Amino acid sequence: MEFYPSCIWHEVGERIVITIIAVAAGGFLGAIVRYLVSMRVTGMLGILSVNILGSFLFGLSLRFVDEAGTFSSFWLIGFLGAFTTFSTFAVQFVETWNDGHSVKAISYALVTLIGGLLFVCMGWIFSGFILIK
Amino acid sequence: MKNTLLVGVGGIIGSLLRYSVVLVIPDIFVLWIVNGVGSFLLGWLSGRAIATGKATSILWTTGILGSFTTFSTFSAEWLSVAQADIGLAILYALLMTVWSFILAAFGMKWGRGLS
Repeated sequence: MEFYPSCIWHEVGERIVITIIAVAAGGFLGAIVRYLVSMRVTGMLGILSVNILGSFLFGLSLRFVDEAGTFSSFWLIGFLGAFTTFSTFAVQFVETWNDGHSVKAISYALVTLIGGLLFVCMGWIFSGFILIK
Repeated sequence: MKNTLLVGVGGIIGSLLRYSVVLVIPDIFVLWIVNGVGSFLLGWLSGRAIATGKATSILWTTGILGSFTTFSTFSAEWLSVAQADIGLAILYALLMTVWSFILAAFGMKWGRGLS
């Protein structure tokens, strides 16, 4: 009985370590894949593709992944979290705006927003069809 | 190859920092903090790079800050808001975007001043 608390702490500690490793591994891969895509498709189009594809995959995964589980830490928080980015999107907008291309900047923002939000819905709806079949 | 590894290491650091925010801050504030702070810092680094003429390490830009901030979680959170109230969801998306843009613009302005 006296070992009971330490057993709980051991289990909690183990889970935290596994979660940290899962997030780190996902983040490592997600960032590298984003980097490789942005080398092939440079500028706004690359980040747009990454954010839309990442949103689709996130929506697609939601029904299959247990959000409290280790795979979710790897895939949703780590990989897709790092694969997609908001800061680059924001800075690209500001740079384009500062260069005097305000219409281009606003179009970029709107296409990213509408595309990302449309594709997360499509992923979610699509995963429903997969489950029915 | 070296750049790829730097981005990967940045991805580890950025993702773990984001996860730490998830653990410490209530859920509804997480993305506002993460995307706001990350956009501000990336704006600051970009402004500083313009001012000094020296490029910032890819470890910080594409790696750490690129991975610290996230779009996919924002999309998913948007979806869950949209399932309850589509008007609120549209407002949420616009505010999150404007919030990050304003912070990125402030960061860049501030970073440029440091030449």
